[in-house]
Amino acid sequence: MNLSRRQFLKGGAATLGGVALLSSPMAYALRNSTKTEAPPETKLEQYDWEKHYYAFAVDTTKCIGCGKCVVACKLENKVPPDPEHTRTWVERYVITEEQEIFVDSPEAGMEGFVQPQMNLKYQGLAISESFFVPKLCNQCEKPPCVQVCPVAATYATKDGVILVDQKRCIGCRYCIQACPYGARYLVPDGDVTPNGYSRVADKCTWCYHRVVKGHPPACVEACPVGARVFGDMRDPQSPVREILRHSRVYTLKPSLGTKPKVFYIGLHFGVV
Amino acid sequence: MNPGFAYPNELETQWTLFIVLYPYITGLVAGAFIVSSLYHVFDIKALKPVARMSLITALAFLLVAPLTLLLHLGQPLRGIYIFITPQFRSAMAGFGFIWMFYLILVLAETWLVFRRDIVAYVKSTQGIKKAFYSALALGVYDLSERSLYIDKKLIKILAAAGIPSAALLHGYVGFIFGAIKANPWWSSPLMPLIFLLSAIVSGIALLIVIYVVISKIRKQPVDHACVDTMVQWLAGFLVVDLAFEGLEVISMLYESEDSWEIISLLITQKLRVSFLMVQLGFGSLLPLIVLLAAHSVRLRAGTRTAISFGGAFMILMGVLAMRWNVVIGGQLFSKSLAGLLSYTPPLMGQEGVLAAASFLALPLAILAALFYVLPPWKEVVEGEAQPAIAARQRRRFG
Amino acid sequence: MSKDTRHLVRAGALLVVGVVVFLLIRQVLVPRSFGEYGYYRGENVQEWASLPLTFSDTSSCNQCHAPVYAQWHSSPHVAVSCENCHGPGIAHIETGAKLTIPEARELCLVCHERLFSRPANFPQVESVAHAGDVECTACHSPHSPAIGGTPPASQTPTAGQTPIATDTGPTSAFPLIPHPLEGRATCSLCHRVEAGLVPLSQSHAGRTDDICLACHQQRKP
Repeated sequence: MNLSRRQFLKGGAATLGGVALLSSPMAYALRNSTKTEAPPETKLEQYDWEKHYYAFAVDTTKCIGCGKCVVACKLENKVPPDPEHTRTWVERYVITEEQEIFVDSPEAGMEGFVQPQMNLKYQGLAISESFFVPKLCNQCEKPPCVQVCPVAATYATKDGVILVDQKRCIGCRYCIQACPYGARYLVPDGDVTPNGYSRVADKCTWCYHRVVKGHPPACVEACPVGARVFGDMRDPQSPVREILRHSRVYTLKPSLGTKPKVFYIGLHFGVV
Repeated sequence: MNPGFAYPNELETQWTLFIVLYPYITGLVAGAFIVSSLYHVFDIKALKPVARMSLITALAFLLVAPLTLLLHLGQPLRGIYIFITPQFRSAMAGFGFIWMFYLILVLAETWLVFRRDIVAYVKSTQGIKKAFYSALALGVYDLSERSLYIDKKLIKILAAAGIPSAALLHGYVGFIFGAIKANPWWSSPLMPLIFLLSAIVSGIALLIVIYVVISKIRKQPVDHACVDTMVQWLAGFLVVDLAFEGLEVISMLYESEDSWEIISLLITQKLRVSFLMVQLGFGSLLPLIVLLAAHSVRLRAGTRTAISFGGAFMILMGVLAMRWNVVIGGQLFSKSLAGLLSYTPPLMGQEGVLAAASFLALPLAILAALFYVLPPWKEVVEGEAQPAIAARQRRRFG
Repeated sequence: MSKDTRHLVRAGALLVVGVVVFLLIRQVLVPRSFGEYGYYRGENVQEWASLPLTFSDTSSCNQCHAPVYAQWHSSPHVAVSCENCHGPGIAHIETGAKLTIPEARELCLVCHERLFSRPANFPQVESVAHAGDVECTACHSPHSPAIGGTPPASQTPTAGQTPIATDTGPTSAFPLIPHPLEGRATCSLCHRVEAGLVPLSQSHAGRTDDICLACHQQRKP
């Protein structure tokens, strides 16, 4: 197991050019079932990115606001440790009996929501409903960030993920302004991205380095309740396809025409 | 919705003071260039005293315009990529080319307009200076009737081409903001128009200020007719500019879409001083009323020019506030539309107030240097050297 | 060429030289793989794809920790991946670096403390009322959280191998009840934290009768 992983990592680093890797099915156990299925050991070189088109589902009726996803993301992707530069975060919605809506995301959700000072302000409110909404890059089908990049340093891969070429990003921050979801940030001085760059735009990649090797994104792996589901739209067995078949889903800010590929189950009006 | 939420990544203000200066400085370029074109294309003779000066002013500010952008980049050394692999679906990608095109155009026109002077300096100077002017003349000292006639035709063509280019340069800056659908304070088809009009307004105001100051420094009489003409154009453009700026906010208010709740908080809380008081009041309506009043009652020409000078200065401040309100204002609320954000520029540091102030002073320093090399007020034509002002005296009225 | 346009020709030549220089610079600076798949630097896709992993997956844990894996796998915590509590595993797998586990109580409560925002059907407790400040692992094994969950079969390391971590079950044995239960349904009649006939430890404050038997069983005669 060890050896084979090392081999394909090495192979991946050595082979440039063809992103022509695998075609075997992405068999992620739907989080709510089990994590027992061994992900297929897939070699980067055999990966064929035209055979996949990824999508993500978030079940807000399951999220418990533990923040494990945010922590896992930061560890997996060397995201700056502070909450103000984050690839993913968890929002809490509190809706009163009079349908007044409060939103917050203390520490971007990475500490969870159990600390007493995080709950003080809701004491004495007549709460009708409350839930958590995990957020991440929507990997839009019509990405405004890609549209506005002046130097073609951000682009969509054929399997549907928006990446930033941090070797070429000039740090103009236009993409950060253009993202309606606040999913991007500029890597601050002193922090470096996994690729080794600072002062460039960074964002969620759906753990591209994991998914092309058959592993789920780190946040999905970390979610203890199956609120985050990753899958492949080209695979009829994919858990995402299953969810889209059986649930009413919604995307964020559909009126902006960005066509997000993160689908939300159980979204309430007022979720921003 | 209870205001108070922002996406975590939004707590850092992305575009700061230098990005406020950038549209301000390009705006001054566009406006100053329009003034020179009014003379060279539309033959508005009253503007002759500032015709050459406005070209030099446009050039000085144009040279500085990309610097603030460049220094704001996370990776300034990669700035050249905007020329190497421009991604033309981006509203920003064309900036480099449009700026370069415009620079070539302004340089060419300035060169043709000053060619007689340059050749004259080649003949009247010695040593290093002579070499410098010879290089500027590209080693050609021919001032035949026909060559000057060709130059004049070319100047007219370039000046005419410069008007749409100026509009393009600055309308384009407006589009950079106006095309961001994620931001309701920016996203508007009126944005390019508003940027263009305010650019012209600020450029004319700048020339009034520079012209009056230079005249005082040179202890030369001010050509009041010239100032009056500039004020007329200034007031005209300002009225249209204000109309569009008002239209923008009024239509937002009237339609009251989901974004209005937070925008109204933005205007009344975060931008109360800089938008309502400085941009609209002190920087637009007040000077407009004062300028119109000063030109409808009988006043001594000197008094009227003094008032025009003051009004122009206020308008310059108002347009600077407008740039702040657009650039910073658009980042003072969350794109979740659920909360306001804050930004206070630091005094020191790379994007601090002092650094920004020096970037506003830089074009003035360049301007002084250019005035030294090519004094626009000196018509150094052999045989008929005369201060431009003399011919204008009889056109004074009032 | 007329001498009257000589200056214009020179200026034009300067412009042409500028454009040519620009095109040459551009030739050098456009990355080799730019445009390979689209209008971007193609190699970048591979750069992202080949980044090393930090988190592994549960199946790799099974390779060395089979007994505890089996126990976890049949428990309600099966949805909680190993690395969720133990931290990212790749370094542990590849270099043997030790995994540390944060303080257990906070680790459990970040999920199980009662919050009004959590789904109602998710198991949650008011931690203070539930167990005072006793460590959760005193009663609950994380790998089989139901009270009385069986500890996994012990695992003896092969000779020369580093000892393999395993779950030894709840950290404390609960005192058994030394008397018959018939007719004594209300434990708190005699056992109270304060001033009880047989006082309980402070950690039991707030516990109600219905939870006593979850931990304490009657001594077998």
